[in-house]
Amino acid sequence: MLQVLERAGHAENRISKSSPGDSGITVIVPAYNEAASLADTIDSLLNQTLPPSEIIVVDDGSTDGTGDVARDLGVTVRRPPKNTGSKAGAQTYALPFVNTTFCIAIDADTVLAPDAIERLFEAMRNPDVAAASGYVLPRYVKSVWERGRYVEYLFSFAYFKPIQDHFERPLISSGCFSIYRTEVLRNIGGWSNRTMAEDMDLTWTLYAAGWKVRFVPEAVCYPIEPHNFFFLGCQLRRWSHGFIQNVMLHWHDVLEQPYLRTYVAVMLWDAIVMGSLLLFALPVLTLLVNPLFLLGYVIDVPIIAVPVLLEGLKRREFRRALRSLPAYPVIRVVNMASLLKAFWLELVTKQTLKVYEKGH
Amino acid sequence: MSAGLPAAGLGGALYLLLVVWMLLREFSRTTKDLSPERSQWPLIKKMVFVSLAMIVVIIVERLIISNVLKLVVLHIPGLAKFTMPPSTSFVVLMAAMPFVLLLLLIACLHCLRLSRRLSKAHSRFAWREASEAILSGR
Repeated sequence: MLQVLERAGHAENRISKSSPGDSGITVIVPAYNEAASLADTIDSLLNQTLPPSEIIVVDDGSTDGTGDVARDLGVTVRRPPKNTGSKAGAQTYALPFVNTTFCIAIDADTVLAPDAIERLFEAMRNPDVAAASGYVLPRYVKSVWERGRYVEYLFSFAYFKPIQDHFERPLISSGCFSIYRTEVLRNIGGWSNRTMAEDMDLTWTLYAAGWKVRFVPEAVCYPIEPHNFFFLGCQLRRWSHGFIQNVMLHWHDVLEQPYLRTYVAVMLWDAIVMGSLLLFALPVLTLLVNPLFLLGYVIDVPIIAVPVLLEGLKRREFRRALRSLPAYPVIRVVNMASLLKAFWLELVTKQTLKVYEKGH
Repeated sequence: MSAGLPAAGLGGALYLLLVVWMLLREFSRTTKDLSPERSQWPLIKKMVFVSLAMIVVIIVERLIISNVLKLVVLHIPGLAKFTMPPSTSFVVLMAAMPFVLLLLLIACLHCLRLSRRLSKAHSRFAWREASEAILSGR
C-alpha cells in the first residue's frame, strides 16, 4: 500500500497535469459473457456527442461470442491469454493499449445518455481532477430489487452525492461509468484486484495521492441492475466485502481526508449498529414489548420519499418513483444483512472474500 | 447500496448538518469573493429546500402517527396499553440522540488521528535517539 502511495505521490510531482482534449478519450469495456448486452453499450458509445477516439472491449475469456459481437460493431477487441478473474484485472489488462490522455471505464451492461461523455469530460478541465463519475440510474425498473435499487440511486445521486461533491470528497467514483487521467492510472498501477470494490479502492488511492475526484450529475448512465435475488446477493456480497476491505486497507489515509473520514465512519456505524437494530432488536422488541416497533422498518420511508419524489418529478419519472418506494424497505433489509455478514466474515472470522462473483 | 439507514441513522443527521455547513461556508465565501461564476447557491438552495422538506415530513409523520393511534384506541380500547404516547422529554431525547452520537463519533475520529500522529512522532523520535546512540558508539 505504502509503495503504491509513494509511487502515486511521485507521479503527482512528475506528471504535467495536461489540459483536456489534446489526444482524445479511449473507452475500456471489460466484458465476460456479455454478448446479450454489449451491443447496446457499444451503440450508445458510438452515438455520443463527443465520440471516443477508440473503444477497447476486453473479452475476458468469454464463451458466448462476446468478442464477435464487439468485432462486428467495428471496435477493438483485446483478449487476455486467460480469464483475469475480475473486472479490475480486465480493465488493467487494457491500460497499456490506451494511447490517449483520458480513458473511460464503462461496464458492458451499461448504456449512456447521448451527451454523457461530453458532460463528464467537463470535469477533467480542472487539471487537479484525476477522476470523475456520473449519475447512475437502473435501465430496467421492474422487479422489487430493481425498484429498490432505483429508489436508492435516486436518493443517493440527488441528495448524498451532490453534498459530497460540494465538499470535494465524493465517496466513490462509480466503476460502471467513470473517466480518468490515463497517466495517473498507470502510475498507481491501474485498477487493483486486492479488494472486491476496485472503484472505491482507486478513488481512495487517488485522494491519498492528492488528486481530486468529481461527481457530474449531468452525465447519466443506465446499467442493468440485478433483477433477481440471486444476482442481487452476488452483487451485494461483493460490494459489502469490498467496502469493509477498503476500510481495512485505507483507514490510515481516510483518517487524513476531511469529510471522507466522517462519511466512512458514519456508514460503518449505521451499517453495524443500526443494522443490528433493524435485523435483531426490532423483531425481538416487536414480539416481546410492543407490535408498534414494526413501524421501525418503514418509519423513515416518508423522509426518503422527499428527495426521491422531487428527483422523480424532475426526471419526469414521478409515477415510477412513487411506485418503487415500497421496495426500498425490502432492499434495505437485504443490504443490512449483507453488510453485517461481510463485517462478521472479514473482521471476526477473517474469511476474506477473494473470488469476484459477477452480480450482473 | 446505501449502507445504514440514510434518513433515520447517523447518516441523516450528518447530511443535515453538512447542508447547514454548506450554507454557512457559502455565506462566508460570498462576503469574501463576489465572483458569480463560482457561486454554489443554486445547489445549496436546492439542498436546503430538500432538507427542510424532510424535517417537515418528520414532524407531519409524527403528528399523523399519534392521531391515528388516538383514533385506534378510541375504537379498540384494549390496545391502549400499546399506544401510550411518549413524554415530550423522551421525544426530544430521541431527536437529539443522532446528533449527540454523531458529535461523539467525530470526536473519536479526531482522537484517533491525534493518537496516530503522536505515535508516529514518538516512533520517529525513538528511531532518531537510537541512531544517534549507535553513531556515538554508546
